[in-house]
Amino acid sequence: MTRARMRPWSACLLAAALGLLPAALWMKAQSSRDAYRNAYRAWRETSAGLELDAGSAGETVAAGTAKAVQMASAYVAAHSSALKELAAEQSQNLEWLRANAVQTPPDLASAPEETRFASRESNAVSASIRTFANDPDRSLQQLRQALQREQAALEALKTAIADRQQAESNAVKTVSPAEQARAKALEQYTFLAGAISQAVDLMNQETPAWAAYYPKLADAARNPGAPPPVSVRSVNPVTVAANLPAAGDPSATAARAPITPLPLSRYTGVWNFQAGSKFFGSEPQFVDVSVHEENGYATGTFYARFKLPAGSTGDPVLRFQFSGDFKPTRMQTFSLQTSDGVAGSVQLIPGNAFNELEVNFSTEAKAGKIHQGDFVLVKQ
Amino acid sequence: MNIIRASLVCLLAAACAAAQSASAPNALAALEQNVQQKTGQWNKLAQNLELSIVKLLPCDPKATAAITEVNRASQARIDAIAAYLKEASRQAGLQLDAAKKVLESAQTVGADLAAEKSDLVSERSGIASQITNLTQSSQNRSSFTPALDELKQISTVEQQRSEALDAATSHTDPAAAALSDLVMQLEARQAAWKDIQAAFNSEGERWTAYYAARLARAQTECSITRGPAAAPRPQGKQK
Repeated sequence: MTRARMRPWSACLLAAALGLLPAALWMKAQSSRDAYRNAYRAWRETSAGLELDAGSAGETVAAGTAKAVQMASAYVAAHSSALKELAAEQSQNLEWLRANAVQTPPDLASAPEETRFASRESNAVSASIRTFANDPDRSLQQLRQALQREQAALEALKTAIADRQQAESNAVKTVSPAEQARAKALEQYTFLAGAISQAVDLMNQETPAWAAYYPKLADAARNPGAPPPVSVRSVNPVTVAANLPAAGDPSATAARAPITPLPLSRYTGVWNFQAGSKFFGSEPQFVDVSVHEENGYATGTFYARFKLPAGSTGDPVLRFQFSGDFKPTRMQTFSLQTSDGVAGSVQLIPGNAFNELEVNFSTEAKAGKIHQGDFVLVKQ
Repeated sequence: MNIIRASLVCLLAAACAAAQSASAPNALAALEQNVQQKTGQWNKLAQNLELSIVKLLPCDPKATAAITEVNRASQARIDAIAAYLKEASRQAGLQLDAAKKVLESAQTVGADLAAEKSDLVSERSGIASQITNLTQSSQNRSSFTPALDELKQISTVEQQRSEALDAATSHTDPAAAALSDLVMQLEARQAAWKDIQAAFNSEGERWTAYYAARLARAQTECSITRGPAAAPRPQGKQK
């Protein structure tokens, strides 16, 4: 009794939930957006005027930066979380498109074979009907009538088989256009989801960036008249190394010898694959590599789509993150981990031109996945 | 709290749908195997029916028993195919519903990206102000250079984020158009599955009618030779 009562109630709940799904997701997205917008407003209100006062207010500004770091961090975390939700939803859509190929219906009941069977039986019955066609015997007339009814049933059966065959043929015709539409949607979604994930990665880079900025602002506010300091995060480390601070400079503790034999800018930044550039192995359709350096430690993201041979069912998209210490060598090798959790290594080799970088990677082999590549990228 | 509750219910529903979807190919494979088995059984009996009957006397109960057995095998095959078609049609419906949800998501992601972009414009404007204010306040003192460089680097990252959002936005309309096409094609496919179901139901009835006519002929053959045909001999417990 209870079970009988529960069933419609559960069904209603399920139907209601399914109906409310888009609204609930929208409310959730809106709520996340409100949260990061509030955090942004609070941060901006707290830190307003810090830069304007930095040149004159000294310790007051320095004290304000500590709070600003916290609030910036809170804002970036909240915004990153909202962006991640959006990326996750689009990744799910992408996965659904990948997994839901439109299948050709199987041939469950062979129409030609069944038609042959029905025709053979019909021919045999017709022959029997002809045998008794003019026989005046009442009993044989009864038999002829039975045979005629059987023949009519066989003819109706043949018509039904032909109708069903036509319906199956119509269903088969829907497969190809549906698959074409799915392939098109999949292609667009690969770019869409990839670009949103890239936006998430970039958003995540802002937390350490603000955490680095405010202490530097505080240092400068405390010592506004100090001689030019040496930045370890300068755009060009060679230039930094050539401008060592004077003796007694309090910022001298931050100075250090160049990490790499070539300027770090030969490795860091955003790099793309240009059509016609050199490559070995699978040809990339696009490659986006972003490399950052913080206190001699490299972090980077790799996102690429490769052209696969016709008919290949492999995954053309590869995404990984890499990190490691910069070494005093021209070629830098870092360990990587793909978005699927596969490990490997990536080498960054500055090209002959200042704006070229060769990227050579290999990962553990995984079925259907690109596991190695080598190409020359151009700095953006 | 209500939002959390609604979200939990929705997640539960989505999980159920995902679980259903994951088990779907297995269900169809099992049903297809059953169809093949039942078709094999029916084929064997149907192809040999006339050969086995022709050797019998008109009123031999083995004749009606043989026709009844083929009819039963035919019905089992028809039931197996009908079960497959019902499940395939149900799955086509689920796939269509899921495609509609993805389309809905693709149609709203544009608004989400526009909101992101709008927020980013404010953020970039905020950083531009910070750079302007710090440049003005520092009066070109080099002690502020590291902080300024840091701000410029953040500005560069935000520029890249803006480009990524633009790239994503440029794919929303084509993605939604392709999904809309997919939904249309899946609707046509689901309608085609329903047509197959209807056509096969009709064919099933014709097979039943044919075997009934074949049995009636056997009974007529018996009745015109020596009275009504005997009832089929019981063949033990049958499924």
